[in-house]
Amino acid sequence: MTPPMFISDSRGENSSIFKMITLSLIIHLIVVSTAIIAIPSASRHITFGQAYSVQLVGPEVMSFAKGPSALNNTLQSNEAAHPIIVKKNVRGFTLTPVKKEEAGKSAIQKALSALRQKEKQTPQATPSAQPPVATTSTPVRGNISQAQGSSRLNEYYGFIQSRVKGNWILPPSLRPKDNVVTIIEVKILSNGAVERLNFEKRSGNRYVDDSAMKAVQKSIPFPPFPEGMMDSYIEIGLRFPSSDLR
Amino acid sequence: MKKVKTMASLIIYFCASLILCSNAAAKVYIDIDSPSFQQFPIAISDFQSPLGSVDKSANSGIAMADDIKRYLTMTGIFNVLNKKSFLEDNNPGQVTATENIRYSDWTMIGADYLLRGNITRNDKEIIVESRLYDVTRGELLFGKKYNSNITEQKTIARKIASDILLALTGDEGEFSTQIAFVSKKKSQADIYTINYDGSEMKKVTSHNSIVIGPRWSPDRRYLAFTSYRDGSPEGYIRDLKNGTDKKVSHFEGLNLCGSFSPDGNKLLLTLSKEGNEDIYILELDSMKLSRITHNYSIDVSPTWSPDGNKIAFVSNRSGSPQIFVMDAEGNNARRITFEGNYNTSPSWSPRSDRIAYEGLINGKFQIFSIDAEGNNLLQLTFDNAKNEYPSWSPSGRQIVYSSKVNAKSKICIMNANGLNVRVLMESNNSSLMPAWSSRFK
Repeated sequence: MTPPMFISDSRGENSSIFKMITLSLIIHLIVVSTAIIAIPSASRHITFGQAYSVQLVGPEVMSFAKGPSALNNTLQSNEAAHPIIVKKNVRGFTLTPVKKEEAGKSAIQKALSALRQKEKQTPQATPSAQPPVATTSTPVRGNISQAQGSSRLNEYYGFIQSRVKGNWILPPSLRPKDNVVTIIEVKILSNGAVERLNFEKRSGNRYVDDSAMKAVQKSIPFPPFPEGMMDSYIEIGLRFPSSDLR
Repeated sequence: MKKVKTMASLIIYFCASLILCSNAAAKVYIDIDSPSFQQFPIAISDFQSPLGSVDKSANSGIAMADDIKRYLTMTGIFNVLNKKSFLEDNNPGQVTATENIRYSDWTMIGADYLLRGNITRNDKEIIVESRLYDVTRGELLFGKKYNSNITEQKTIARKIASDILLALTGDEGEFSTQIAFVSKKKSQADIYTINYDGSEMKKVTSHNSIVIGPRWSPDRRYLAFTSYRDGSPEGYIRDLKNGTDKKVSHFEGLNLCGSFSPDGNKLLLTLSKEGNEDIYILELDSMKLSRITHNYSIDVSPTWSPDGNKIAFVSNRSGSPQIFVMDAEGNNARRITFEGNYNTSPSWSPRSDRIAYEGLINGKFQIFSIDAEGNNLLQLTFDNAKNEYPSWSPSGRQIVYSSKVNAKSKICIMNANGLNVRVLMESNNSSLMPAWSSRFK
């Protein structure tokens, strides 16, 4: 027994179903899009501690491997080992203050020779500059796999981190009492040039902010993206925490 | 059909926008966990003398640069670069406002800052012009002219160092401060003062007796101390302007002076007139005395917090001498040191909320600092000496203390984190109880 309203008007029947479907579709789309936009995309937050790289024993060591070729194949495929990054809490300088000072001096020497090296290398770097491409998509290049591309990206992040950290100077007595954070955002193009550099968040303490900006200014230009890195540019935020130690 | 079309286009529009949204790269944040260096690298060029000047001007330019280098190094936050690392100096002659600095020459050697200047000497006076550049940003931070009479070259160097500190850290440093301390010769002990840079050591008291525990008033005009001149330990205040002593505390038993209040109107005292040592507050205008500890234990060595609301002191009420913090009225006393069984001589930092003290560890006294809540304990000295009586600098960046090894006794200054120790004064006489004055206004 069909309900009376469906018998009465054939065109009306279609349009009411249509209306239902349209309404339901619209509600679905609104809910889904709100859900996707409202939940903030989790921004990746990378902390670097001691980076340990593990050298896997290659098949050449196991030279008795006239053995099964299947074993060789498995060994070879494992060779693309990614460095294992372990987060290590940075402890205060309490225990060996004298050593830390000496390490600082030798680090200055290293930084100086690195600077001279860099000065020699910059003229060679520019010819290989690639024109920046302003799209949001990330095309896959050649036969480099997605996984390798992202590991190159992580390597590059690691390099940026150690370079900026090596240029960050802040006497402990200038740090404020509470922990404040300065965030500097920088957009790096694939040739290493920096397109945008500004404060994303100021800590409120002028000396911490200045020291953070100086650290980044001394680190640019960055080297061009390593081969295999697929992005045409990266936008990163550099976080400088001033956790109070003394 | 129209409805189908609009519906379809709506769907396509939504899906497309969703796809485009999700493709935008999520932002990556990289943590730069801690600074690699703790000292600003600064390059100081020899000061130039006017072209065609007499020889003595040329040497004084080098002397001026060396003096400034010495003063900046004393602060512990500068790493003054070695002249030998400078690239060829292409601008001899007078430093002018419009000179072009090749900033890359200086960034290459690792300098963040550059100081250049002129010096002119004639028979009567010295005129110095100096400029500080931020080499990374490629800009002039400040340029200033100084003059003094012919004998005061070091005063100009101190002023330039202060101005550099003011520009880079917001406070002018300690160059105009003095340190008072006790020097004990045989059976007599007197108070001496010495400048921050180690110059001009002067004797302040001549009581022909034992004088101990100097304390500066916040305006630097008065020194409170304890003297045995009249047989028993009594508290005095000396007016440094006219050199007169006034007895302010002569009760039965011990009369030891603690610190002045931050407004300079009150003085903390340790008195034993009621039997055992207790802490009192003396109002200097009215000479009114109020007792603030009422314990059967020994309560000594009181010192005010920089905001005047709390007092840190030493008490053995929990069994051994430990550091406590209480309100300025004497309530809510709370123990803050729990390591070691002999902790004494607290000194409260004028800037951060930390308290420096001496503690017995492994049979020796060393300097420690701890925050006013009792957390974040830090040992600052580790050497094989008797390190005692810490006192903070007005900027809170450095601590002065006495250090004794065998017969040699020293007054040393170190950074608040224990690094960069400098010997201020050394002698075969016992030198103890240093107290850091405020800045000369």
